[in-house]
Amino acid sequence: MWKYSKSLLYPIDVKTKDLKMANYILTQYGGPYGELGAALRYLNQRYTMPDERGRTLLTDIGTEELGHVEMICTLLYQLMKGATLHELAAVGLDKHYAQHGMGLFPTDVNGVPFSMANVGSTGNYDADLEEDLAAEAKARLTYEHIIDLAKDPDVINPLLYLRQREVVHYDRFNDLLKVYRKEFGI
Amino acid sequence: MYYQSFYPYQPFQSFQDESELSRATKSMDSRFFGVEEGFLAGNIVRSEYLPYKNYRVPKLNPKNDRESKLYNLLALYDYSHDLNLILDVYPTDKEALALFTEINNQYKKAREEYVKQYGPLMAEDARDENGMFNYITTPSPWIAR
Repeated sequence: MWKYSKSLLYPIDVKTKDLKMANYILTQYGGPYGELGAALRYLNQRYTMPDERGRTLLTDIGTEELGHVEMICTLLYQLMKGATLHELAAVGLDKHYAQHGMGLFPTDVNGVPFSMANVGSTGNYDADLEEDLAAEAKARLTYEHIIDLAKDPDVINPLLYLRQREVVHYDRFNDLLKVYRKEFGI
Repeated sequence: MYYQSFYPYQPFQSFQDESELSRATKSMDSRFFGVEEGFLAGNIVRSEYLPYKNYRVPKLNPKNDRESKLYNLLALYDYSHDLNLILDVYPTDKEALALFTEINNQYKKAREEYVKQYGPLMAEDARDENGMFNYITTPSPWIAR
């Protein structure tokens, strides 16, 4: 069951719009290593974990990732707010505007819509957790690349927080995988 | 620790003076950060914190009392959530269990005070306020106040 609390996990208050940054941050919404894919991946894999520790951990981390999706969408919304068509065209977001107007839609940086096609779910805890480790590492690196491209501290600080959360998730999945391998074997 | 940090460990440098630092942090060899620094860093386990290049842990600047109470609440929630994740894998970890009980109580108290003063956070906190459903009167979190 899910409940919603009307607050972000970490405060985000972007004061100046920046269409270029919005284009880069789009990859963490609907891109291959983004938060939406992560949330759906963990919430899908949790059903076939061997015992309650795995089910609960994947549910809790998947729920947190949904909160991160909200943070990414907040960044996108605040970075694009009040943009003129000229500014959108200058970064190539006029194509996004033609299809979606100023609405949000999960795509990657090139406008390819979000896809679950490469999100894995094998029903085997070993393969699933290995994939989760790789997913967290890829998400962390994507955040590092976006932070390299950013200049505004109002944008960098939430991204640093989100990057650190990926590190935390990686460590938790690694702990769980070691425990499961010792107890259940491969 | 599963990552080898290529950058030397930087002690928590966000605070201006030593007395503020000592109030916020636990001792440098304790397993967990303090509540405030754990929230700002994004990680509560000292040995797992991985800095990025030479970016310093940012300090939050609440504009008014509501924001400072909210940030305190978020810090407590984040701390208890991180302990929740640790306890999911190691449910018998004594130190984490004791800390979870303590932090959870602080969180519940802080949440009750915030909701009483500044309005509902979840639909279950909503009530009839002068004939109005007061869940609608607070803005969604992506709207700047």
